[in-house]
Amino acid sequence: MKRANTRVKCNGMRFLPLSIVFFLFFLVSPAYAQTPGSEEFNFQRAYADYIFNFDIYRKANLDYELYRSQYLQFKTLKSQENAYNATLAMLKARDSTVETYLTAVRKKLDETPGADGAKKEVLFAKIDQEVTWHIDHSDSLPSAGTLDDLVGDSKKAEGRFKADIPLFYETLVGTSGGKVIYVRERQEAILASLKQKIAEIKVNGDKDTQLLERWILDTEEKITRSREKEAEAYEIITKLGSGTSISSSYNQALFKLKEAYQYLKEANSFLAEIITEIKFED
Amino acid sequence: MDQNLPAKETPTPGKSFFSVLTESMDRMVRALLNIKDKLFTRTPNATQTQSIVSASGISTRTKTIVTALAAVFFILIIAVFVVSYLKGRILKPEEEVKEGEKAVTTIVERKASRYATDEAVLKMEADTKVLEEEINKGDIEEKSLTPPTLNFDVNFQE
Repeated sequence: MKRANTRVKCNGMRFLPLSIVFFLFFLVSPAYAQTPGSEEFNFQRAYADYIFNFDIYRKANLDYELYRSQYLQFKTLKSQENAYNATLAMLKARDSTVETYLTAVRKKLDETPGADGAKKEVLFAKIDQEVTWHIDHSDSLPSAGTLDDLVGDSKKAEGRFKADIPLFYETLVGTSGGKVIYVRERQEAILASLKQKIAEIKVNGDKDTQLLERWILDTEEKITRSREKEAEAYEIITKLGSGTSISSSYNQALFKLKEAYQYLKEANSFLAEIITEIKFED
Repeated sequence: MDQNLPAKETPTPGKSFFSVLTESMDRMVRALLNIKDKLFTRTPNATQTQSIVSASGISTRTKTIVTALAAVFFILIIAVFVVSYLKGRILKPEEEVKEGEKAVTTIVERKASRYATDEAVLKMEADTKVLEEEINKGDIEEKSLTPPTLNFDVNFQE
């Protein structure tokens, strides 16, 4: 009997470490689960980071301008040292501004429902590459060197930034376009249900559906025109050139998207009218 | 005998209409002349004239009367404007109410179909309303995310 009891005890002891592990897991997991929720990195956070870094950059740029003019005026070793430090700080802050801007734009696109998945992935890959470049560039800036070294580093960043401009605008158009797509997809879902209901009414013979069917065609036409405008916007943005024409091309694309949105607005009021018509007898 | 008759004779029923009119006009002219004499008579004393009657020959009393009449006239004009404005304001809402009543009556005239309470129709209506609110609220332009303007002019040459 004693032996049997000790055997049971031994069996129970075998599971003791396992139960401790389980106990610790359940104790730790809720706390661990809370951590990402409380520090969730979303667009709001990314945007706040960008604004914060941009403010630092603006201040650093003012310092750079001041120490540069002092160096050009006095040409002393002290003024040269001050100019070097101010320029280094400005270049680092500038890199951080571009990096956080790209992250904010990326987050915005990521959180915009409706944005095209495939397009998103392509843009994300490009953005990630640029973010990495700016981080590396900032890290590679020498803490001691000549002013000419910094001038060279600045030129590299300038070239990269200019090459990035089409990417910025492409991402912004992707975000705005995503909003249009999101509204259109929801409208198309309502329209599909509405068509189904009208078909049901037609079968029941409760109501003359001719008018409703004509209105459905009008609504569909609005949605089609919205699609056309949207396609025109993407066509403009894919043909983005370089220099000053980029921002004007972006404005043109944005205008097309606004037109597309306007058509959807009209389509929505048509849908509301059709539903009201269904609710009343002929 | 006829010459001794008084100038202001009351009209007898036998007199013609024209003679009565002439007499009354004559009386009015005389009364006006009397008023004129009272208002514009210059006193022989020069110093007194300066104090009571001005150089234009209009007495202070006349001036006061004319000013009072002008003030009354002005007040009347303002009163007319105010009354007409208030009348217009009071009448307008009444017209609007009438239009509203008409609109309500047209809606009431339509009879609800059996689909007015249909679950699917109500859901579609709610979805459309939500979407409309979202469309009106949202702006598709990302104004806060325009690319930053940065200084790339880094050089140390004058």
